[in-house]
Amino acid sequence: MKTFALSFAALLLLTQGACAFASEQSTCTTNKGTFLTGTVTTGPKFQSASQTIDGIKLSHTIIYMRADQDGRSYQVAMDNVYAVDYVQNATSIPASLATLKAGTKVEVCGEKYSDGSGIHWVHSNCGATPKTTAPNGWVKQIASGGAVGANLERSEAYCYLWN
Amino acid sequence: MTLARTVCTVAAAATLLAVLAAHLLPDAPPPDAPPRPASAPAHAAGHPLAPSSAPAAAHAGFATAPSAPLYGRNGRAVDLHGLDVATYIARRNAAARTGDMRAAYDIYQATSLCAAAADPLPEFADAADRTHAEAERARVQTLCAGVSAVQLQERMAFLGQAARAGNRDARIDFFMEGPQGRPLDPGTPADDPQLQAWKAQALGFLQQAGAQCDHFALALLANAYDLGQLVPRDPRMTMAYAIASAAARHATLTEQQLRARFGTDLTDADFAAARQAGTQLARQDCPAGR
Repeated sequence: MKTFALSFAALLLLTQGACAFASEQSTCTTNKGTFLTGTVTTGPKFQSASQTIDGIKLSHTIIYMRADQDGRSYQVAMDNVYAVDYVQNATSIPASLATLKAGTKVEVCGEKYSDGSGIHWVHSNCGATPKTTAPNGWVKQIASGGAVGANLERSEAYCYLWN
Repeated sequence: MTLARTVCTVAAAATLLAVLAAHLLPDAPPPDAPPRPASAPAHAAGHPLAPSSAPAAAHAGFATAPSAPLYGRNGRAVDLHGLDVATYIARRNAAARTGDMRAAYDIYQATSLCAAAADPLPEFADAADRTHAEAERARVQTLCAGVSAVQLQERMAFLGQAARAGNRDARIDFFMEGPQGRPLDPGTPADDPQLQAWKAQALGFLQQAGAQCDHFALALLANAYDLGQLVPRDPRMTMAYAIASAAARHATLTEQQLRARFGTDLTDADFAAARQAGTQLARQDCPAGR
């Protein structure tokens, strides 16, 4: 009887993990984003800005992840200005994003590239009403126990560049 | 979403019951083991206009012109007026040392360019990108050739002077530079006296810049209370400074925006308190007309 109870508890714990992701997926859908979970296959690399606004260079941090949903590899382009610890115009990866090394479990909500090979806009949309081309996105780390961390792309300090 | 939450809540309750049952019920013996006595003990977390320029394919056109702007460690563009840094400093040194705060800040700014030149380059996503960064780095190192380690260190003293004299940019830069002009090292013990001193000064300068209605300083304070490195993490203060920062830009964060951003971190009482604190900060730091 006890073995059954333990097995049932384990099953329900797994169910709760699934529930947590179902809830995250539901929130992402409400935020007009595409939701992916998976494992980082290539750790963070710096991508210089292709655009500068008011003297702020909009650099990115790039990782690759294998998605649980379809087993495919996706490039994830994270805007450095949305990292809470971003230092403006620095040629460096913000420390909070540098933690997303290969093997890390992540959850992203954003807009897929038009060719489907990657995802971007995985950041706050500065409080604007979300659209599929401008979702209210995120990047979150998933701990080994399944706990979902805070959005690493939540800073709104540079929203003044757009509104 | 409501249905999903209901199902999950039921699942959570069922899990709790199952775990309790597992602790209360006696162990069943494994198939091949002899039965145990009943008394045997059981074993027992853009914006629509925002940048998301994406992918590398869209990235081919960054400027490679030698006249690309130069940036200091504080992220501000530096104009050396065609001079090298040592000459630029030499022309302002006497003025800075006799109380000219503009000259002091200019010297800091130029020298911070050389401090950034010592920062390690990250791993790049694109080899051509790295080549470009290395060329830029070489250019800065040439411009910084005559600048001594003492001058690099002294820049923080000039920055402190300018900040204390009321220069708003300098007040923000003091925070951006980090302790002793280096990035904050998470490995430094929290009770390190130099770190403690820097934190107190940086917080004070940011608050002073915020009190000058600087939206960016107020946003940095929101981040500081969010990240919990400069000050202990406090979501109420994050929300209060976010409200004040928006007010400094003549914007108002709606109830819906605030709920979406802070609703899950704060109780209703803390949310109301944070909103009141933010309104008060905005009134205090950005009185009408500023």
